[in-house]
Amino acid sequence: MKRISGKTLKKGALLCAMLLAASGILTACGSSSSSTASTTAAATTAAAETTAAAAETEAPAETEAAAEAEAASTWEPTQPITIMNYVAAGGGMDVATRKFAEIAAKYTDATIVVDNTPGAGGMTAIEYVLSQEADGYTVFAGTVSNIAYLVANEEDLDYYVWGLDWIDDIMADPYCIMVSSDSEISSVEDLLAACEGGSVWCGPSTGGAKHLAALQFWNALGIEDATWVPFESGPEALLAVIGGQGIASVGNPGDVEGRDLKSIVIATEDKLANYPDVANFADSGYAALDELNMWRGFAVKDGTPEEMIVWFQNLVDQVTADEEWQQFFSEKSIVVFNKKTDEFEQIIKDNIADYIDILKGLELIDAGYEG
Amino acid sequence: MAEILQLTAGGFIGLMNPGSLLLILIGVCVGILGGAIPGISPSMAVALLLPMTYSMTPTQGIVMLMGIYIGANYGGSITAVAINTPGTPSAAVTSFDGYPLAKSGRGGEAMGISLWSSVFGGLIGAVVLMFCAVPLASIALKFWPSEYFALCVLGLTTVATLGGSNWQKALVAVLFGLLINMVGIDPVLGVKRFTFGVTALYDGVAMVPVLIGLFALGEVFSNLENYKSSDKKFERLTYKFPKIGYYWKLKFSIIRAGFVGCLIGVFPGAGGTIASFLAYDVEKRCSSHPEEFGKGAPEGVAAAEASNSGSVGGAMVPLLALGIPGSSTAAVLIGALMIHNLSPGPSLFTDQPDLVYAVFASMFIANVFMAAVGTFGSRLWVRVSDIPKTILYPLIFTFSILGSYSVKKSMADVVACLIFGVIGWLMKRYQYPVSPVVLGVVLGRLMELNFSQALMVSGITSFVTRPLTVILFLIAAAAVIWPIISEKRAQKKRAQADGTEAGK
Amino acid sequence: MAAFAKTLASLSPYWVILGFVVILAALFLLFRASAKTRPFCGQLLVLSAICLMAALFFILTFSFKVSKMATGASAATMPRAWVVCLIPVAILCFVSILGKSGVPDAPFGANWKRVIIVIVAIFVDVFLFKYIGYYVSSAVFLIFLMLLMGERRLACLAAVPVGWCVFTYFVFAKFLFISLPTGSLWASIF
Repeated sequence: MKRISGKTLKKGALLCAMLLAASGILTACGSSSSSTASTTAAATTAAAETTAAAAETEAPAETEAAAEAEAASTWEPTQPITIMNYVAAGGGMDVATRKFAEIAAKYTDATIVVDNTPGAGGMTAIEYVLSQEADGYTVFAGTVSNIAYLVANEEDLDYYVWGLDWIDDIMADPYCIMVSSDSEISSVEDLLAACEGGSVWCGPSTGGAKHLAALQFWNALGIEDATWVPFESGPEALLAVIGGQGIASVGNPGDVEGRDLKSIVIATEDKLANYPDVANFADSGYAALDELNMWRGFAVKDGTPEEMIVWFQNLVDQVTADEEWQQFFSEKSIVVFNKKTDEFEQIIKDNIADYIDILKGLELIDAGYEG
Repeated sequence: MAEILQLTAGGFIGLMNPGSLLLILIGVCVGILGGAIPGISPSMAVALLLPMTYSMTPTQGIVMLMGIYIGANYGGSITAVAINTPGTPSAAVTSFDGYPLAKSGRGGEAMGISLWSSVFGGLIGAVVLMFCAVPLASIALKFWPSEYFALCVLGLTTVATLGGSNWQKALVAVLFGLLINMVGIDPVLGVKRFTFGVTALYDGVAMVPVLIGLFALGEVFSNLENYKSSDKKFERLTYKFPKIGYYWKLKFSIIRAGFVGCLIGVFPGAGGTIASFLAYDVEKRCSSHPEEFGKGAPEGVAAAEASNSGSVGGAMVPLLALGIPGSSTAAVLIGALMIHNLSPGPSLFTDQPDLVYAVFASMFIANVFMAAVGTFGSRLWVRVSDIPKTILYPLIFTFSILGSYSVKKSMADVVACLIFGVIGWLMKRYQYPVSPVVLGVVLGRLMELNFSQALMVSGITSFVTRPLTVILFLIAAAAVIWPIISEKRAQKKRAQADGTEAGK
Repeated sequence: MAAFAKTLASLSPYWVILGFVVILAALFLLFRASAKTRPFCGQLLVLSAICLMAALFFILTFSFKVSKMATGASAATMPRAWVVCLIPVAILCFVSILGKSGVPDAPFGANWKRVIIVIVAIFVDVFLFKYIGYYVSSAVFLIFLMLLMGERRLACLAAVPVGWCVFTYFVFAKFLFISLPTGSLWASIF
């Protein structure tokens, strides 16, 4: 009971007050007497006053803490900051951003709201961010999958990628190849043998990072005639692998947790502490593939004030150094860091070049496409 | 069996403290409210309150979210019945009969039925989840794309019951819905279709604006057309809520629909909306007075609500047994578990048995709370019809605009909602049923994706070689052919009867 | 076909809508001209509009990018399948409308002009969001509609918009964090 936050109750109460006031007005207008209308109008103002009072009681505590937390920057948020996800609630990046908001609350009093605008491989969310003011109150939470999708669909990268400032790269999630737990495949060699003469792989959307990673794996490992069956979401694809529809899927090591799946190879240079027995590609002689990974990071609209960016990057520094943050992701075998603008944008440029390379090589995009 | 009961009893005891009960109650209330607001889907309602669970224990957090999930699935029916505005996509079917009931002065009945069928549908889902999670999960694993495709075909056959005597127009309407659903980036290859370079169309036409437009706006437009300033008020309605005996008559409808909902809910991607269409169809076919469906049949409301509430239990099956969410709301629950450092799936039963059984227990408690809140609440909500039309109609417009905006915070969705409002009005004017359009929009994408997946996974032969697929196709065929045969037989009998009479 | 489809796909949606309206207007005149079709004009126009959309979609399928990743059905398969299904269905529907059991169009209700005014008003309201913001625009819209519907009580005319704005502000903006457009006009003034 102690652990229920007071805010929850307050919000619930506030909501009920609002509803009652609203329904009061309506029923008042329903009855023809004008005197009742005035009383309910009074009720509304009363409700508004209580909420205002409720807001005020929280205010002093906030300003105090804010003075403490603030260090290097002059910028201070005056309204909630929205982190816009391109995945639906419950997706990988969504969980990461929600964890971020939770931990960031330790270091700042700014309200951070996590929101989701799924659709079109992230283009819908990017469009939304680009449609907002470049004031830093809307932050895009992106992953390498956005880049992959934009390249695979031959979109205008100057608009969708470089219309944003990519300010913080916060983590790298290794790729892995997963098979059903009861599968006889347990190594890359087994996989190559099993994929002889065509194979079916199940995964999330066509053109996403995991699909393009699979193309890179197939290309390097010499797997031919493999088919990528796209599913609406990652978990649905995993269900298909557990059910035996496909031979394997490409995902992240954390995906196997709690499910009837096993990783047969994880793309990392150093073996993961959580999965010491799982091979990496170097073990089979494909060390170059171990360099691939999935980043997740933040971007703001191009033209956002430098002070805001510095403020946000400082916040990310604090969160990245937080023990809870580090522990949370190390359990999922994700490496956390904070690579800032220059380094981050270089990584993206490399991604773009790699993707264009592999897709042109397979003749999946137009040879004239430059991004 | 006994062990499950014992452990669940333990779950109940664990939740029997004011804190947890209060959280479930808050969850149910917020869920009902969120569900009732068009544009706030159950998954959004759960996601919105997710941050509040950070400071709670995992069990407290999850039981509150379960409360929201369950409440939101019922909440959608309130506005569906009162103002023909389904608050959630799955409540669209509730409005087919709920709104006509309310309009004919039986709003209390409709509200009562939707509440109690939701409660009992939810309880059926919870019981099935408790005892049949493992066998149901193995069915989910056997459900390959070809089965999904066959299920969609079966879903399409329900158009026959939606159209009634207007079946030609119903078929045109369903194809219109399916074609609308083709707009946007295709689900398999990412090819842009019919977008004319408009980015807002990349993701297709969203479900909620279409629903709000066709149902809410279409209805208000057609009411406005015949509006006279003198009839500012609705006719005096009876708010009488039926006695228990009345609901008892619907017991088989609720049980049937609850099971259909639960079963369909197990399959990720299918979900409560398809479940409610199918349950509605089953109910109409079982009914002795099918002609009343669509005009205010109590069984129609019961079937729709019991099945979409039953789907909650179904959607939890793959979550607990396989670690795969059965619905978009269950996906948010998985996110919540992960934030609390728990991995979903069968390992929960061994690592966190307390949590699992608390979830079971919370489903019962939440449904009981929902019955209580709903009983008091629906006496208030049904009075929406007391609001004079001069105020209600303008409010429905602003509500629709706000609702369609909230889904993706996109003005394009608002415009889509208005366009579909006009389409809904025109279709209504010219006796084209609008419900098949919704059916088309619900099924189109799923059908296309699974058709393509089936081809990729095991080729065209999978549609004829997989037993489960063939069975589903046969049911679908029977659903179309049987009414025709029985109609022919009835005609023959009549002709014979006429013949013998003439012979005399 | 492909070249024609590509030009069609690259057109602005406004041209496409204009073309649609022109063809429907022509059909309207055609249906009005014959005594046989006149009573069913509205129903036939709805059917024609859907068929026209289907025809447009069918042509446009030839403009789709042909993805080399396609191993199952192509992006054009399903749309074409539905259009093909529509052909017999539309013929059946056409026959049934004009057939024995056909019911003539219901005459327009006395208030149909008001419906048009409301539709225009909603579009204006939505258009104004961008400039004067959601709250002001909605309040004005509510008052306008209530007046149009015949509401004359001042208390209600004032209380409903205020109540609505307060409700949306607290529930949507504050509680659900759905930021509603505040309007560029105010931003430029203040």
